[in-house]
Amino acid sequence: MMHPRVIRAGGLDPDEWSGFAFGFGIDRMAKERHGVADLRDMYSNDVRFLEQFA
Amino acid sequence: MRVLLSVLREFADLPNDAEAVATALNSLGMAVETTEEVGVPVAGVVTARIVRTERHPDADKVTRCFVDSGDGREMHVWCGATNMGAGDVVPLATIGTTMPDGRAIARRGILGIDSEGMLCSPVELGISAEASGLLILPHDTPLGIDPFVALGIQHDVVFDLDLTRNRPECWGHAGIARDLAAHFKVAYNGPRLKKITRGESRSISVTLSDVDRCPMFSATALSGVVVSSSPNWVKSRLSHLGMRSINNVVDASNLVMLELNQPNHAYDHASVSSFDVRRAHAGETLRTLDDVERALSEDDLLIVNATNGSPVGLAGIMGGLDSEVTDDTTTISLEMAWFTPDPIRFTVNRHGLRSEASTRFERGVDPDGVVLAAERFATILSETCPDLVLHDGMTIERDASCPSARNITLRPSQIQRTLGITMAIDEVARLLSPIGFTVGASGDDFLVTTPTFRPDCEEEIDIIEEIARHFGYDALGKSVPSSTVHGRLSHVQQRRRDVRRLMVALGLDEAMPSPFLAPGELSSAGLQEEQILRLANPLVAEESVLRTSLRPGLLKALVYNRSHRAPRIALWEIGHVYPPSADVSTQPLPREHEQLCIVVADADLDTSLRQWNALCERLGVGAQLDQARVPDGFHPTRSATIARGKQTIGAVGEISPVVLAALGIEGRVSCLEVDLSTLLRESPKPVQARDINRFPSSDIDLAFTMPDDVPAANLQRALRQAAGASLVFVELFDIYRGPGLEDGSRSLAFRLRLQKQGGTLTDSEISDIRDKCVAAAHKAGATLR
Repeated sequence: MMHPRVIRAGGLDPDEWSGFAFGFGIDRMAKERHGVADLRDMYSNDVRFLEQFA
Repeated sequence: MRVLLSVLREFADLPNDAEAVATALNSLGMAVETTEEVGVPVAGVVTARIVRTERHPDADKVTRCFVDSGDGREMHVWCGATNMGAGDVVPLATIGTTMPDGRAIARRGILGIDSEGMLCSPVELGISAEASGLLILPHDTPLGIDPFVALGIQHDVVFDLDLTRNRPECWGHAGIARDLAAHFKVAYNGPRLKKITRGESRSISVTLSDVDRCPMFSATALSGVVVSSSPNWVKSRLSHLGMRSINNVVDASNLVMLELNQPNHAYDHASVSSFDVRRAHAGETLRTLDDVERALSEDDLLIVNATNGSPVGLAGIMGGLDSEVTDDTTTISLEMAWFTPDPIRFTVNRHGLRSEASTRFERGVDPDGVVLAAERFATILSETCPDLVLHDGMTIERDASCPSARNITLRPSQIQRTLGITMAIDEVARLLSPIGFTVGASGDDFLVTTPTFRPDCEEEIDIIEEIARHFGYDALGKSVPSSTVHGRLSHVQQRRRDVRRLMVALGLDEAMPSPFLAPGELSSAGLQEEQILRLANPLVAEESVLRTSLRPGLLKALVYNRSHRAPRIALWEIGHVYPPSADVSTQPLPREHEQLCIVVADADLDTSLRQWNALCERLGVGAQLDQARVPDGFHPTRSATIARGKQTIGAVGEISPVVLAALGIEGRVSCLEVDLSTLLRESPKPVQARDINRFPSSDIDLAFTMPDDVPAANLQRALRQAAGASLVFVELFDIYRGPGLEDGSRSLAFRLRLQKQGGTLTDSEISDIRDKCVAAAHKAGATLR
């Protein structure tokens, strides 16, 4: 949940507005989905890796 | 923060179940990083006395020790340590023992002489993380018994907690035990206290010279102190919690801090019997307990011996060396205070000196906790000092500005809004009372009073968080928020996605090079390296320059793939680039924008032009291709700058042969680089349909001779203008160089299709257009063949 001070700093009334925030590493999600063994492959720019996802 | 299960269980009636306690800690927001069993007895290890030692002439790194484990039989053990001597009692791992690290103790020989076991260090027994030799036990230790029993080392469980910033009270076991007691709905008892002999009042005078930085300071006198070593249970607790035992006074002081989150310091009363807390003078110095001479600044706060004005401690961080308790000390002045957190942090940073005390003061300790802490200190110390006297007249100097309990209005509607549950006042009280809050009614709202050990609870939302923690996040249930507003891609996001799909449709692979380059990578790609942004503290020098173009990264990826013999390399990237602003003196920040770059190996100008045309078509945009301006790093004749009037938005063509040679790339490489931010921002109108002209059309073909240094595009433009409104299209259909033409010129053949609106073109009209075209071509430097 967003702290009311954050909402106030954003120019909104925290009694009226609430918010929640979350995030995750998109590369880790892709790793699980596509069975990538090594996360670093995604940043290797090796076409043998890249062209599998075209 | 290391926490002992046995201490938590002493402070509250918690289950003797490490797993259940760890689960509870996690659910209460105190993340358990590790759970470690400590003081696990090692079967086969017994106490033994070293009867005599002997050197072997051929083994200078090891000593022969002859030991007796109580049965009078002398056993021989080789030993690599040097801190032992005849008469010492040490732990002996006998043959057949399995050490905590899995090593099995077997009969092993050096120089043909067998060892009948191993003498152990504290590390080998798993009771310490570091050691400088064998564990030496007291001389009167019985032989042949478990050394853990001899030392009083208790089997225990240590939780290593990752605490969030808003839980200062968890830096003491008491705070954690209170939270757990509420969770398990069991009694919180707090520390065990013994009735201590009280003595006549010995008030210690305290002056608060800087109430902004130290609004509360307390001092108590304790006499009948005999400085000795601590009881085994104290040593065991400290060792499990990662602190070294010094003597009974220092150990009691440290244990009180670890148990109650109340840092404190014991001074020898003979030398310090009145205190002042003031700022340091410029040029003043203090030798702290770690034996370092500290040069102080006027921003540092000192605890001063008021009798002579000399500093005895760096307030809230570390005591001074000179006022330390010594073996001769019989009376001590026990000091505890509340320091303003932020300045403590500044002093810590200024001196690079962080201590267990400063860690706690930075977060905020309980200003009301000093009486309990003094009593607990006396309880621990009294075990080794039977004549201990706690003198009346404890001084507590407290300024009105010292934090105290807060009253916070809690609206039931806000509980409902934030947590999705409705809660009556008695339910709120049931959750909050066990952790020290009091709850009352105030009209329709609740009035919550915070305990002084929770300085973090400043407003309503903090109280709601406490309710959620003790209600249980798991118990809150799930609900999907209903909203009439649905998210969608913004205009720019939608267009960016269109571009991505186009890139994939063109058969290109998306690459993701680093946004940071090595120095020199821009210039080897033919780009400017002046006035670019460099990182002040790069992780590695190879990633210290912010890119001004995506090209160097893609070219590097191309080289990498070439070296792995990839047959087809066609890469693209959309990413941010950081070229310097037009005038760095007035605008130091770079002109950050999004760029699209495509690099294709073994491809020529045509490839990149087709990609540019496809992009324009997809985005509904356009620009001029200026062949007269060669973009940096591109081929001098097979490239063009993409421009809109004076604004440059990109480059298209082939990479410069100089750049390719420098990078060791063979063959042609095509490249399209364009400022995507500009193109994505635009909102082109939908294509408007034109009427189809149903009258017949006529083609005329014209071939011209033109010098090589004049671009064909110039001639094409001239022809288009001359042909006027009747022109449907003009296309270059043949280029010829060779016999019949002068060197340095070529033949360019164009086809023009003509068609008139509302009628058929007459022969004379066509002939008229043809003449105009020839004249225009002549003006552009071309001659009709």
